[in-house]
Amino acid sequence: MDKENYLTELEEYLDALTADEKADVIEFYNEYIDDAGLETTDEIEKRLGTPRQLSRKVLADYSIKVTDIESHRSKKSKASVRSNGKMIWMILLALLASPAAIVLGIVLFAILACVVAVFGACMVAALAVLCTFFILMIASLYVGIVMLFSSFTTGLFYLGCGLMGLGAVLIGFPLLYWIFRAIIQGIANFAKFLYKKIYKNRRQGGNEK
Amino acid sequence: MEIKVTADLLDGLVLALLDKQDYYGYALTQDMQTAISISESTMYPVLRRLQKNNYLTTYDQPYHGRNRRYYQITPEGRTHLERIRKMWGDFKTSLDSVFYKADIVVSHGDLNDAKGNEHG
Repeated sequence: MDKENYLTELEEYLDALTADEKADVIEFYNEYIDDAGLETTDEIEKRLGTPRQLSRKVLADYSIKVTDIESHRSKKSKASVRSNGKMIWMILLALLASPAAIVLGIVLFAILACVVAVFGACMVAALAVLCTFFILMIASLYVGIVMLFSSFTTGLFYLGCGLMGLGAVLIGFPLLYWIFRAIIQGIANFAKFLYKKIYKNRRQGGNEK
Repeated sequence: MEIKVTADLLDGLVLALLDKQDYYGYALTQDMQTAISISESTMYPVLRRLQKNNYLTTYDQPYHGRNRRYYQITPEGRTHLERIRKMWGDFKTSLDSVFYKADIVVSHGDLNDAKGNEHG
């Protein structure tokens, strides 16, 4: 029905009003169209103007800037009916949220990368130390065994050092590995947390666009 | 050429009509248009303004299976109408004194002519 189409379109242009106010306007012009016996869209628009023109007059009384609504209206499809005010506000939020979140995300990830690099370096250093111990241990054991035959006590000494080294290595490597795993897990959790936060913002922002 | 009717005068005209009887939207617009040429889209904002200020109330009455909303003047509306009538009278007198350079009090005949011209 032409009247229904006209009123539906009018209602869309009145999105900035509250539900009650909108209902009052539609009711008024619904009755008007019936009482005036207007049936086709042409007849209605001849008397009342286009839905857009009519909405302007009505909204002017509500002191709402029509230009704000129209500049946004051109982006929306006819079918969707949502509050313009809410929409504009959410777009603003999205615009504010997205870039900030992206920048923040980049910064945080950079920090994360540095943390990873630092810990990585520490790991490497620790590993190097342990490897040195390992080599020394091997060397000591070797020397110790050899010296056993020439100088028993010296040999024993070196054996002792070697065994100490062995102990350090046996404790050190698993410990290092455990620390490494724990740190990696911690970094992974933090990274996941960051991603969720930023993705959440972007998703909300993305929906509005 | 038309002289634009201000919001105050629109309010006054609507209230003056409602003072005589209750109206529904379309009939009120029709009668308004016998006096001045206003567009249909002007009526709703005027009525809403008057209702907001409590100068009129509304009630619904069924009509041929659908609803008809009637507008009714309130006591505050009547007071406001008197205010506007006085304002209009003063306004008319001062303008007439310039337009027609009349030093004497104008008679009813002259008043009608002036009114007719202004609404030309």
